[in-house]
Amino acid sequence: MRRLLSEIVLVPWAGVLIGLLAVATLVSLISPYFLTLGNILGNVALYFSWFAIAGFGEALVMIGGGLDLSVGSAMGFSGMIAALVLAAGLPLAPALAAGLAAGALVGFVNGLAVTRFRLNPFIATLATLGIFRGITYGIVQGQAITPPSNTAGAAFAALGTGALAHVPAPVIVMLGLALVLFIALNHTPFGRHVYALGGNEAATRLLGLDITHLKMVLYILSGLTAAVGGILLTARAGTALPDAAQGYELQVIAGAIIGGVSLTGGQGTLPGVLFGAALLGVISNGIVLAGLAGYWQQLITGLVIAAAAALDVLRQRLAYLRAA
Amino acid sequence: MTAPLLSLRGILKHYGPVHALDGVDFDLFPGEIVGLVGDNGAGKSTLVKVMSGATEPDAGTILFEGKPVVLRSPQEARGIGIETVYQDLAVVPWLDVEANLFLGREITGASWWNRWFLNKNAMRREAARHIASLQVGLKSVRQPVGLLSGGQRQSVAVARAISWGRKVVIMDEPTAALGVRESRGVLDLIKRVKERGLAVVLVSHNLPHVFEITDRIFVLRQGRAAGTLVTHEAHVSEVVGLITGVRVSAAVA
Repeated sequence: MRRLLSEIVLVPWAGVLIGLLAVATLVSLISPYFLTLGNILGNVALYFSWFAIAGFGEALVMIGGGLDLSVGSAMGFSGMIAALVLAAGLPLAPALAAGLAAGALVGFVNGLAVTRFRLNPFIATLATLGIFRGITYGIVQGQAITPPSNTAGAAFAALGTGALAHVPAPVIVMLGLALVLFIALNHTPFGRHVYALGGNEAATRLLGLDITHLKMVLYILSGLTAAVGGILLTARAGTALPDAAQGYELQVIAGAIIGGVSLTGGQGTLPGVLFGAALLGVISNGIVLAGLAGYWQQLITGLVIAAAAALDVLRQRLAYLRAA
Repeated sequence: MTAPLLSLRGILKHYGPVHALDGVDFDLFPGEIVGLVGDNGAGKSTLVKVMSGATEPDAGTILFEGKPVVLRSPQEARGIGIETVYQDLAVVPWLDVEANLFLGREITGASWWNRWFLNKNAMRREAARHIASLQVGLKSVRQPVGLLSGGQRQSVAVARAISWGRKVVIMDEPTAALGVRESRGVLDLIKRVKERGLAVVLVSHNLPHVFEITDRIFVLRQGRAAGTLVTHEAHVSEVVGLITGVRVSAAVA
């Protein structure tokens, strides 16, 4: 029994899952409405799907020892580009392709800055956070862009507002992405190389792995997942605002850290990121249901991050104790 | 005597005005352990870098199995069978033993549908077999390397270096960070490496360790070969003399 317990505690995402269940129980006691299917899927899951989707790419970068502060700007930028292509009268496919390409471009610039110009990831992506938000504002002169209500526009809107068996489309995309990236991270050589890169970069280079290439791939993936989140967010909102997803990077990174992704690299799991984002979603929903003012959310989120970090330290000590 | 596995001839390496290596000849035969010793700045690290492909010499030739080779990168050196175990423990702490052993040469599935995916069972089997045959005392190949002791970690690095058809293993201060008992385990492991017919270059400041396990001792001083001694015929004072330059006549083995 003790052995089983310690096994459970050592599963990297066990802590955040326990936290998630505890907070969910608390919220369901506060409001009977919380545990209704409509609330769980339509409000909670939908709310955290953007953070989780962008969080998967963010987590990959962080596991690889980097950091991407530009995800919020990449979300806004890619959503805006997709909306502009639709507004120009083009069909859905080119709009989605352009939006994804916009996100990949942000990631490409980040990767280049980190590998070729050897900038610290924090600095590099802080710069691109500003640069791409500025470009987003600049190209539309601060105006909102609303996709036309033609066939393409309707199909685009369905990406954000549609549902399959009550599950909103963005939630389906989130789960699909989680599965694909989970397999990539845990069952391919690429995934191991990501963990190796974040765990010991010098050793990884000495073993002959192409570190520059790996980092480029990671930042581009992060740009791409941010683009998926940004496009879905824009589709849901029905209009592209130049300040869309502003400040989301903090929620995205918070979700990843709560989910057990290490800021120093080499550690983290995608189920953890999913549960971490879900925890943020439940907290946000719980605050609304409890009738508290929204500004308490920041306080509670901060406390949860602190608790998650403390739990992680405890978990690592336990792992050492068990090995000794 | 058999032909040398690895031969360096007239290796020259300058860093600006500094002659790190000033025409060094070095031979390594199959199944022997050669200790590479010398004072700080004698050129040990540079010689190791030349042999491991991390640095290209300004002049001189490298012969591997009798054929001239150019080693432009550690990957090229590894490609012909020269592997280096670095002092700073080139393992990834959060990956388990198996993942570390197979890092960069993972086994994937054989069929069209799974050839992009890791074959973890095959790797765990192979890793367990390899670790057992080297008598590295490990409970399981699924432990994260970061949770192992320093000696066990070094052993994992050595085990990785000698796996998969290596011929030459260069070890840079493998016992420098280890305690007495831990060093014991790693030294025993190096002896078993030799028994497999691999040639080992051991760079170490620890003369008792060098004397215990090497067959020959190669002394570098100020970028030149100060002498080569057959270990069981040599005395510590001779080696110290060559290292410090008190004894200038080079004994040739």
